[in-house]
Amino acid sequence: MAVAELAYSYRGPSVVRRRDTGTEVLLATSGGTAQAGPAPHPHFFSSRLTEPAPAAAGMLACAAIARSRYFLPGNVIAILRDPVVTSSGDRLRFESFSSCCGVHARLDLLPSAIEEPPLAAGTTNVDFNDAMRAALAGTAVTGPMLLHVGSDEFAVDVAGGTVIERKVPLPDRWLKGFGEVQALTREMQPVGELSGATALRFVRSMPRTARRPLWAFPAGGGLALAATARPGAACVAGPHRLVELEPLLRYARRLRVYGPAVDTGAAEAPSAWELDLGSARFTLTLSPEKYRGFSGEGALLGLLADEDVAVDALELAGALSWSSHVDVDGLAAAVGLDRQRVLAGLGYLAACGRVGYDLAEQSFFRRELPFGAALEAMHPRLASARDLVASGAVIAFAGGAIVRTANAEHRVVLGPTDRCTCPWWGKHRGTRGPCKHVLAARIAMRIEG
Amino acid sequence: MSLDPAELEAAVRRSDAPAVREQLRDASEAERAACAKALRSFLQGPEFFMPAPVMLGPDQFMQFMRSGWQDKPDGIIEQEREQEERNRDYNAWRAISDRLAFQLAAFGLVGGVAAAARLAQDFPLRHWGPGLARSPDSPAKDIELVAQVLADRRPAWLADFTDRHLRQFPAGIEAWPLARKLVRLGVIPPPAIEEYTTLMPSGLRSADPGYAGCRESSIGLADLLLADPGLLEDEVWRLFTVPEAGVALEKEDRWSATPDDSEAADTATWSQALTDLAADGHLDRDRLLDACLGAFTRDFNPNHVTWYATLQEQLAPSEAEIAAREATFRGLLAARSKSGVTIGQQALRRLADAGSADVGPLLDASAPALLFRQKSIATAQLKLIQKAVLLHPAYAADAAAVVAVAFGHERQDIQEAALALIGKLGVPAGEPLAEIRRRAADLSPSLIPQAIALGLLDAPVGDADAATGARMPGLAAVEARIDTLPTAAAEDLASALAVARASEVPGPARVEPQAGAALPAPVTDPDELLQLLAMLIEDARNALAAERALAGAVRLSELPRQQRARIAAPVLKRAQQIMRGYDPFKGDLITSDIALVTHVWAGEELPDADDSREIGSYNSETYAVSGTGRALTMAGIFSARAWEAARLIQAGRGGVLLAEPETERGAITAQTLLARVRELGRRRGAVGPYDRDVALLRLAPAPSADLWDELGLLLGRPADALRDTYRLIRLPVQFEPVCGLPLGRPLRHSHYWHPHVLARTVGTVPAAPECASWQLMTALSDPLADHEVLYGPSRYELRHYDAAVAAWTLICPWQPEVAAAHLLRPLSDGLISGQTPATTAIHSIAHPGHPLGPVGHLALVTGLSSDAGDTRIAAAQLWSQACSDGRLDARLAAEAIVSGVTGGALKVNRIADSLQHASHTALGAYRVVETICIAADGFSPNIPAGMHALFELAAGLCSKVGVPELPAKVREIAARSGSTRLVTTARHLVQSAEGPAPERGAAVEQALAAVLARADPDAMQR
Repeated sequence: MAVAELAYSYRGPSVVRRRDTGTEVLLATSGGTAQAGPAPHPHFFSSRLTEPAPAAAGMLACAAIARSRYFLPGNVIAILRDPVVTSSGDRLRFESFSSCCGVHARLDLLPSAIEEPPLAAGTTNVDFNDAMRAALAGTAVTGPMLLHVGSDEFAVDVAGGTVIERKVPLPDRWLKGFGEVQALTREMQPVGELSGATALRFVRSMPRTARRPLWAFPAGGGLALAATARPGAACVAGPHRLVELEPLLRYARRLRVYGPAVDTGAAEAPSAWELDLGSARFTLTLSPEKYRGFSGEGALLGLLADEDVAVDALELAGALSWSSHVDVDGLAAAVGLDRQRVLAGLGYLAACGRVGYDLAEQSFFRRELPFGAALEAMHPRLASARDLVASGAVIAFAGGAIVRTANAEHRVVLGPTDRCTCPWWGKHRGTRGPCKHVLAARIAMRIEG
Repeated sequence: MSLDPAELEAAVRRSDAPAVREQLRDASEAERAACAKALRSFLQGPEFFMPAPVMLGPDQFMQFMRSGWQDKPDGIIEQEREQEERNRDYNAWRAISDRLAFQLAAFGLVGGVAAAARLAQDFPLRHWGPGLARSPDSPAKDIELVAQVLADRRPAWLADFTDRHLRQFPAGIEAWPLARKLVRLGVIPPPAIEEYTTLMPSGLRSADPGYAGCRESSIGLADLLLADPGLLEDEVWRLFTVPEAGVALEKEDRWSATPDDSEAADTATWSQALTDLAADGHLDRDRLLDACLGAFTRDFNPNHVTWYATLQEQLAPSEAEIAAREATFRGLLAARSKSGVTIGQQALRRLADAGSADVGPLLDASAPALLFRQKSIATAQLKLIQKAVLLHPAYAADAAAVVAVAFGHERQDIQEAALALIGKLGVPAGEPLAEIRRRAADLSPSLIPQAIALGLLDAPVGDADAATGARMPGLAAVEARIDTLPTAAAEDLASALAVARASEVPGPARVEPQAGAALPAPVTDPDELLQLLAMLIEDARNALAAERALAGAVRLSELPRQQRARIAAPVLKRAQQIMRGYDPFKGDLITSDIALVTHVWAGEELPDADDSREIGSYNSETYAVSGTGRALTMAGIFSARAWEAARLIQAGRGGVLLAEPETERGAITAQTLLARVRELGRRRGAVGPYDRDVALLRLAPAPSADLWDELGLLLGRPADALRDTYRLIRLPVQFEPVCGLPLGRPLRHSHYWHPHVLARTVGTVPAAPECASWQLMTALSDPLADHEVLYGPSRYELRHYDAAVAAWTLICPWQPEVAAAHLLRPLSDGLISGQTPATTAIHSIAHPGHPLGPVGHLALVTGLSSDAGDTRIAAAQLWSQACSDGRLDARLAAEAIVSGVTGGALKVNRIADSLQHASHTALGAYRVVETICIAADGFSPNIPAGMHALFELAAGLCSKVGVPELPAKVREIAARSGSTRLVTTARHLVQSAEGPAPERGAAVEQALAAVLARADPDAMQR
């Protein structure tokens, strides 16, 4: 497992202050990208929140996800523990990703949640230290809350030597998963919706000890659970991973569930659970199985294998603005590409951590993850496929290919559902993206026109 | 002073630890490196001789085992002698290297952080003598010397070494005392890692030089802390901020406390020590109180904060201290742990009692506690609010609005308590009332009448038929269909329609076993076969795919061997890896069976048959298939067939398997079987006995006479004998439930069995000696006694036993009760926690063509009571589906519940929880109510504990779909005096039964649709 390292440098610890007039939360920032370019300690936001209690609970839930692991494989190491904040034109988004790479959380503070719009746009890491989280949780927020993402106050402390620096490992699978989750959510559609109290009961009624994925489907004006997939159902793999929703459920006006289209008896799939908190939205995205991280889903491999998409993506990246939504048609017109190519390019950028996907509004948004990443090295299957093509191991023919390796000859059938005779395909049956032989066949066919 | 290797070695050999330290004290790193090089062979020691393993035959092993490992076979005696002789030097060196002097030398000379960490990890536990008794020496003295040697040296990696050893502890030298000693010597800063804090509770005592490993330490904990004042400045406060410190403290206090000596326990615990130190002014009491309360608001695991609650109790904050922290205690109402919320509630209650609680903010902060999952918390919050309002009546209206938050609680009794409190507080007007009315929509349906009575909801108005569920627009369409049906079906439907017209719910439908939809064409493409095999060697839970692969491999074995080898090359290595990892053909790991089939299909050799697994041989009860391919139990039938198939493949002549399923329930039509018989006759192909058996078991009803003649010809058996065998294996088999503890070895390393629900044959069981598979399938006369053999312990431990279980119902699709009787084993296995194939067992009987008789219902209900959530949901789904397709019989379900619960195997609360998930359709809900009502009578006079959960569920559902007839038992319980949960829920049920049932009509229509679908196969098909 390749592991990069992220060096944090905060000018001081984030703090929660109680004042007579309410609560003030100062979030220290580290690195990232602002409108003007890279910024060591950006100051994005300073304003009162209109509904402080759900916002505080949402921020804590985000922080909890960043510190959680719901499965303990041997190679999981303690990694990024601070959320990423994206400031768009009119809103703030807090994002986090569990250590096991299987749960992604995002809190969107919508325009109605903030009294004043952000001061600047961009993405950064924010410090969510223990003391700050404890203070925020213990506040039982009832009064007004003033939130700062970055603050000039921190600069004062530098001379006093309170700069906080730490390094955390960022394994490839974690970085890859952060990108992959955006691509997977794009394929999702609403499955069902519950009102606040019903949502509380539904989430609490879920068995915690389910070893196999369950499926939530609309029934009787609400949602019901089944043990097998059916059309219109969303997978609930590892229901215990929804536990972070519980503190938020009392603020929830609605719980909306999303999942990709599935057939009867389909294999496990990711799902997203979106809480409408009034002026905020909290979205929890679960991987298809509790022991499966998003990184292994291979949802983007097809896109990444297409060099044209990479070229398009480069062009799109230059034209992206920091507004809260990417206007696909506008972008298409601006760069002279058709809508499909723009969407493919955005998918590519998502894999690179440069855009996120907002399920509720069905749109991409710009979000430059503050970690560098060598894309191809993070996708060994893609690298292997390119090696196979380069070594002339692929003999393509109409509808398929034969891929010769040192030990065997793999037969690839290309179609609506690609197939291969390799053990990897046998094991996963396409549920984790294409195998290297299918990818190699696709690349070879593209090369041969 | 130069470091002399010879002198150092001499000091080590004479075990002179102080001398070793003295010699190392001022040595430079270069000198240490040179010395280490010179002493390398002494420090590394001679090589340890590892003898070759001794192979014992089964009989030798059994004899050795029976002698209590005393009667050693010659091979082992010889092995021990050789080992002793060749390890003589090693043992002598070991005697030296285990001593402290040697360890000090090693720490003084070790060349880097990784090696030092290994050394610390391998540090000999010298103080555990024979019989695990401590020697009189304290480990603290050794640790001190090691720390001094390291401090003298001060290597650059010392802090890193300390962190590494703290992380890897409990192996080796006590990590915390060593780290602490190094900190106190000033050679490292206090480690920042969490382990430094979590190991402190146990480590502090080990650091006491007078400590000898038992509870009675020479000094009390408080004195130990005072002896190291730095701890009171920093480390003690970390105990309140590090996530797992609470668990470590609780564990240490539990271990330290001596129940028979409460005084000693008080002084021995951390909570008391900190309380005492605060009382004596050594610790800031205010800071301690705040830190302790802060632990509940941190994102610690809610189950890991009990120690902080104990400390809080011992600190016993005064009223003034509580008042000064009122906001903090209010914040605790939102804590995630029960103990945290309880502390907040108790403190606020004290303020309320004293009349000093700030009621407005208290009400604002109450919502999380009112919605807290545990009943006691929500109830306590209601009482707290009531108390506060009693003292400040001006808040009554606001309080009522806050109390209405509890309407959202999932427990009906909490909702009811909230309603009652609003009644006491008085229904407010204006905005609070609007808020309450808005929240009243969340109330359980059975509480709606009470809410209406309080004026919180309006009484329903409008169409009376709609309110009572009497409107059923679909009946006319059903009536029109009756004329188009055959007579028998029309009669069924007509009688169901008559019931429906009386607004009663008809059903269940008359259900016969069905074949199910046709499967895809048999596998004839080698690539498709390979893809199937590649999938199945990893995961064989798709039993139909396994059957298709088996038949496809036999069919395609006629391809030239080289061609097969080339095609199978991509998966061959993996297949061989799997079959080496677990013996194929044992009946439990189908992936391994398929791996061997792949191996043989690729042209590799089939292992020879052996007789090591025959009945009576060593451990024979753990096998389902003998070494010669004979099925020993029904669980071995698939493996026995795979065995036969592998031999056909090895012959390389192609062919067909008679038993290859044609439909999704495993059935074969007579025409297809006849075609296969003819095909085999043409090829002069061989037929395995298990292939023949299973083909007969799968054969659809009413085969033609031609089939018996041609099959007899092929098999060399008289046609009449075959026909008779077929007749016998289609006769019904009667079962009765049996609950109890199986005999034999318990499961999964447990010492005890848990009660199982199984089914035993009763009456005459049709015997068909010519069909060995049928004999195995019906060998259920004493399932508790035979449980170990039928479901052997070694199989239990497999993660993939699901694949074996998935194949069981396919063996006899026309005998669904026999299959269900076998599935009760995995389902009973699932009644306790662990990885079990219970969910697969439920899926096996989910097909609408699988009728649910008494045993089928017993299987369903056992699934509802499973420990695993996924099994319970699968069973709930089956319930719902079986209602829709007419298979669910409330009477049989109730009988199964009564049998399982009174037999002590099934739990009522789990069944209630599962049935909640089964009631999302009107018909599903109706059958739940119907079942509970019948079961209530069935349990009479001994109503089991937890029955209120079923009554509560029934009451809620009954207010939507009604009830057929309320049993006398429920009315009798409802009429009892008192307010136990059983009585109040029974009253709710009675109330609901008397109210409207708006979804009754939907239930009637759904039930009628199920009868129609069964009566009209075309409709079923559609």
